[in-house]
Amino acid sequence: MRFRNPLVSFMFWTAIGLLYLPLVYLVFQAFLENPNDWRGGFTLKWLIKLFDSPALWEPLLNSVEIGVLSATLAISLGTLGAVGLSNISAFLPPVIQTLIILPILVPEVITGLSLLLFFLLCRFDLGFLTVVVAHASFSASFVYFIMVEQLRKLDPQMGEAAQDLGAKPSEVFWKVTLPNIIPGIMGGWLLAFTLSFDDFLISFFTSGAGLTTLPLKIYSLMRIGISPELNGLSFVMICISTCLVLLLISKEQSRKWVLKG
Amino acid sequence: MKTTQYLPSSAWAFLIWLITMTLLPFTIILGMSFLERTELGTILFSFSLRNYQQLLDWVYLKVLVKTVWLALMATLSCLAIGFPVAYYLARVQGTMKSLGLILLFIPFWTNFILRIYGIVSLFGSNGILNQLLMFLGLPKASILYTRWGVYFGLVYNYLPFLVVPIYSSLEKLDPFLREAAFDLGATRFQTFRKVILPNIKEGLFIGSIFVFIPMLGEYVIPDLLGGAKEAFLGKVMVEQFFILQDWPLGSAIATMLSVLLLAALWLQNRWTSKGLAHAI
Amino acid sequence: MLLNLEAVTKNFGGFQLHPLTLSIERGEFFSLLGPSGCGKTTVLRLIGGFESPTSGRIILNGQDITSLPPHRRNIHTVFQRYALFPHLTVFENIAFPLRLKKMAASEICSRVTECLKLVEIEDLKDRRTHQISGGQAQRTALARALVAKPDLLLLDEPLSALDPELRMKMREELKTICKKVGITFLLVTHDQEEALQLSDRIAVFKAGQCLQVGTPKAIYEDPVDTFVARFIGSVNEIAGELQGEPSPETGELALASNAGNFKIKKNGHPLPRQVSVILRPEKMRLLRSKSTTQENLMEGEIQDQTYLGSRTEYSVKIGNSTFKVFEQELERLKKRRLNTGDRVFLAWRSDDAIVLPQQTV
Repeated sequence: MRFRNPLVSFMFWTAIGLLYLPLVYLVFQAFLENPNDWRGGFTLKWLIKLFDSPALWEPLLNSVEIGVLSATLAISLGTLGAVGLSNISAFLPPVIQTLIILPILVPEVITGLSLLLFFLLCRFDLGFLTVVVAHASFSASFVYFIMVEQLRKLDPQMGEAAQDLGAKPSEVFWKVTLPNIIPGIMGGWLLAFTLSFDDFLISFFTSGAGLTTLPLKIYSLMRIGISPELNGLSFVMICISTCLVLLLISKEQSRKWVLKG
Repeated sequence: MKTTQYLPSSAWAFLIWLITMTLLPFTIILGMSFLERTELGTILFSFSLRNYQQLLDWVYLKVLVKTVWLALMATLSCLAIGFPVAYYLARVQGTMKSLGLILLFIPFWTNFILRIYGIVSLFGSNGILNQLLMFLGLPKASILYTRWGVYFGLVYNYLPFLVVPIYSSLEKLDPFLREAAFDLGATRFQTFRKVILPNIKEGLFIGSIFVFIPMLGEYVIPDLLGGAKEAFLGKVMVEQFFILQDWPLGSAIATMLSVLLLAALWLQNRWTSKGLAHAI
Repeated sequence: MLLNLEAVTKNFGGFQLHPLTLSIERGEFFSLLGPSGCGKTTVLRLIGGFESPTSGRIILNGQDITSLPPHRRNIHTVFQRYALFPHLTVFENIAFPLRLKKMAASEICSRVTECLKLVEIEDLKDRRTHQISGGQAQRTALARALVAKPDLLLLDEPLSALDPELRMKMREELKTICKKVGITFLLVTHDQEEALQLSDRIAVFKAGQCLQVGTPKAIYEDPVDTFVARFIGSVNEIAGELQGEPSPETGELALASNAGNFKIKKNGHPLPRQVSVILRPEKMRLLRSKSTTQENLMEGEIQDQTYLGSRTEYSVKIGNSTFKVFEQELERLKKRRLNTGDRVFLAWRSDDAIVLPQQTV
């Protein structure tokens, strides 16, 4: 159907344009000879230089490691929860429902601060592990909802059918339920990884002094001022983030969640 | 006999995780907000409401009023921009719809810091806006490090969070509602005012609240775009923890924001009479 | 006996299964028939082990299986929506129970192939379950439940999701397969025609109670009450009062009703005075004019007629009630055309009437 109100479509496309402007400009900026003046011409030298420097690789590696570990932790916890609760998820007492949804709804600042206090009071050393755990603490809930949906889509008679044909309860899980929720597990893992990879605020609060992730590195450079290194890192980050989102959108299980923001 | 019921212990692993990693930290914040602290920053384990009283102090009230005002303006702007965006997405069909949705959401899944940095690059003193103004021989505009910077940052970052609830409440409307209204002789404007708007006003309100409350607690945007002088509730809260070492007071602000959020959640639950799973 | 239910009951929510005692013989095709919510599916789930009875015992092959979980019972089920495993191919779906038994690969292959042949889907064996049609899924589910040679095969409304033409075809095949494999089939259905066509014996259920167990013919021709009579086939009913005693020579008895006075025969059961007389439409003849026969005659007028191809269904209004009657096409063409409002006569033999105690519901 063609949309007939030109004013509304104009407003939509203008809004989209304005949304992209800063990001497009960031990409453009990474190729500027003089990052403070766009009339200076274009170059690849800053990017080439960046690829040789540890300023990119160390935080990138940290981000990826944290992402992989926290996504794996989140997928295990979320899937366990969903497998246990999917049948009764609609009848859960409101307290438990709230508890599950809280990590998604609460502003990141508060999640970050509360986790920070928690870690400090438990006398955990802030660093790699605390960041992994903190990331999993909110992405597990996302994973839970994805997995509940995935499990609900399964034919409820399928488990009975397997049992009927002689499968022990554990065999029902490993041979029937699990193989059928693998797509959901993959989608959920990717979502959890993306959440972790893109996260700034919670890492900021729970990472302590020694650890830098890519967003933390960009933040600290930003406080100093515009520099070719910062522009280069931003460019790399935009490329990775966009790839992750496109990958998520291409997966049916996680698309809905991407489009929910 | 349900397939998965033999593994209820698995649900416990998840629930215990949530209790330790979500509930416990929040309880710590809540508990902390009732404690006192000495001049030197050590925490005294005695129950007091001093922190909440302190929030009623003129210094903090002024911050609160300023923050609420700014967040309110930003929310209304999000509403004004977000409504046509959501309306377009809800009405358009086919490929344009999915393309529109994807286009809208890609920027918001790119890193938050990058989005802020994008704004800094655009509006900064050497940003493209000012370079353009200089090129045209006009005076520099200083948007960054003022409250306008914070305002733009808030609108830019929170827009999709408002588009989503408006979009989904518009989607839920029966498409024939419009046709029925036209059929009964309503003009387009009347249809909008008398048919569409009354049916989605709850969605608009709840959506706005869920944007407004997190805005109050925003730390990075006022920190990076607002400059040193601009006081903002979220920034004040974080500074209590990191700079002023007054954890109890910071916790009191965090508790206040959380309570507001839970109240909104409760309100939404009452209104929509659906499970919480539908809230997101 | 293969399967014995001994006073099995089940209570849950508002539903109650009355004590049910039932025996099913080896090799039999047995049906549980009744409207939805009558408890027939509950009985199936009790036998399958998906529910446990509130009281009573379930005996399979002389062994008490009441408390065995489903996977320890040698009973397999064809589910209503087939419940095929979407992550497996047709072949692997069928092989599933054999793989669980850790059977040798060659044995599995030959058993599955045999089953694929039996249900005529050899060429589909490598397809995924979403790549096959409803009828093919049905066959796969059947093969999967048969492959491990269970003592008893349960079928939960297996044909209800198929379109009518396919359903007819599958009925034929189910019957053939049952006889070929020699496995006992227990079918749950709400379709009386299906039950009549397939079963050796039928149990009719209503509101948690088994009303009658018998061969299709017995249930059709000698229902225990008006519910069973109404549920199976279509009926015309005359409510009336028995007059006097049966005559010694013919055994006939007078009945007074709104539609007139008739002669009927009792069929053994003791009856109260107030009775319902059930007349199957095919046991009544439609006459254009009054004839002198020994049969009972009722006069009425044509209210409506529906042309059904091979036959025509007439609604005849007699007194306050409407009677349905059929006329075969061959018969109809020989005779005068009937129009709405025409006076006609319905004739029936006292032997063909089913006389039952009157029931309010």
